[in-house]
Amino acid sequence: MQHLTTKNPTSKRLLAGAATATLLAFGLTACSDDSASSKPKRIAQIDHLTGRTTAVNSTRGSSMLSRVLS
Amino acid sequence: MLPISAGNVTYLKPGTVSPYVQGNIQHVGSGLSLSAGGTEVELTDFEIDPGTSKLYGNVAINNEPAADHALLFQLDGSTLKPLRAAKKTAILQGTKVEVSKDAAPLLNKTFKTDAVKPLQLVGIATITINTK
Repeated sequence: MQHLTTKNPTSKRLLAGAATATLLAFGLTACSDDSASSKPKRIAQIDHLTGRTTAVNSTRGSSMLSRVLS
Repeated sequence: MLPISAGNVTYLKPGTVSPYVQGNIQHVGSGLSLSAGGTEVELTDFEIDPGTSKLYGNVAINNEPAADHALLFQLDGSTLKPLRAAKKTAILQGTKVEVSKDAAPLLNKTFKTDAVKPLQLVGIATITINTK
């Protein structure tokens, strides 16, 4: 998974702020603001993952995917 | 739907590093089955490495193990949408899932076809993480 292209710095700040607020609201581990350093700023870290992954078939190439095992 | 069995994720500030989602997402005990012409290929125990945009898994052909931790799918996160929250979950949506360059020729050989192309798009992933 790679980066989201956002050229507008204001949009980046708004996005980061919104994401941080969202994560705090939902009980994730929010990380301290280390924007003064050159290290990438961690917005959240989630350990002990649970949940699910789905993939929506979007092309004719997916017609071979016949069955999900569980 | 593939249940997430274990793992961890670090979400970095978008734009500061690529990729901005890093960690490890495991799906032990589940997978996909591909079948055609009397041949069945089972892809199981997926492990997603967001940092390298790769999805690994085990392969069995007609119930016989064929490969462990093989590179099955390449992930393209350029269309990934910002992390969003829903009821008790955090959602990462929009990553393209493509047949890896390693898997495509092996699938073609197994199914005696040339229909599977490297980096062929097979779906758009949504990862839903429980937060409570």
